[in-house]
Amino acid sequence: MLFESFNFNLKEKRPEQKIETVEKIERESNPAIVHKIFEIGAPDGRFHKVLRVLTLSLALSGIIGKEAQAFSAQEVQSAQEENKEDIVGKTRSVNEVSKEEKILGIIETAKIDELRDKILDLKSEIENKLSRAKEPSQEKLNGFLLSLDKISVNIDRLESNFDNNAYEYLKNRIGQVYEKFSDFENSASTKGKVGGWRAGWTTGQDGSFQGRYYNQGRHYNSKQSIVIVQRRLLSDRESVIDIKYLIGR
Amino acid sequence: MNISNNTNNNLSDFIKNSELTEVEKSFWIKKAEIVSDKEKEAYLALFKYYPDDIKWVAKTSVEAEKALNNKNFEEFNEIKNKINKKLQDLLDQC
Repeated sequence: MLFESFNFNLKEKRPEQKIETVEKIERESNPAIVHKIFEIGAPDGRFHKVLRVLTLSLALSGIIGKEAQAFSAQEVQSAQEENKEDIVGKTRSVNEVSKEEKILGIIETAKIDELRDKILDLKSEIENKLSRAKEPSQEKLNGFLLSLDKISVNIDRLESNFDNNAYEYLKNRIGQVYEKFSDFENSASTKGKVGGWRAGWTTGQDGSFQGRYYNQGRHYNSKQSIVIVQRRLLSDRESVIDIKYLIGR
Repeated sequence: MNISNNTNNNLSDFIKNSELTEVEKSFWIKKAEIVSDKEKEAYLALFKYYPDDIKWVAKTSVEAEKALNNKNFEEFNEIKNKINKKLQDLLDQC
């Protein structure tokens, strides 16, 4: 069938798609073939009716082809009437943000949120430790919290004036605090026993976590990474262990 | 009827002898000057089998062009919608 090669199913198409399809037919249909089938086909035959539409669309192509031009002219006219220079490409409205800028804004916001999440996670860990710590550990832990507060102030500044170098710097600074806190946790006085809870764990040669946990709590492995482990009781007999790497290697 | 021979003359004859208005005839004469011989053959078939379509195409095109020239986009859109509707109705009958 001739019209099958045009994918001639317009019933489910939107008006603009119908126009597009008709234009495709105009481009690809061969008027000579149209004519021959006109001659061969029965005047009231199904095939004949389709070819009638094809020829009509050919004849009307001048008008259909002016559609884009008309709409373009319409936009310019509307812009002139409403005095919106941005539509005619001179300037952009203050509130109008390009797609690229929107995407960039989303990425920047995600980066800032990521830093804040890291800060909150670490502060939670430190405060948890602080509540059970004694001097001189308290002073050390308060020092970590102070460092994180300073970093937080700079993260707030990023929100109004994002700079990728500053973002990378702050990310590294948080990592450094993590490292120091990890060192502190792994010091001789605390190793293998965190927060008074017994932890049974080992660290793989590559610094990754291996081992079992006997109690709910937070445990830390090597200097290279920090692992938070939490045991959740599902029932009297069942429990799951959540493992979260705060800093990957 | 051998339409492929003397296509230009045949189409011109069809146009001149049709019941179109002068403006409508002018539209088809102008179109016949710019289209290929193959396309002319298709229009000849349309003249032969659907003379009402020939009048409708000319009338609609003239109205649409007038609306465009007057920057009357509302009217132009209405005409365009009518074209789409008619083509779609015809397709639905196929």
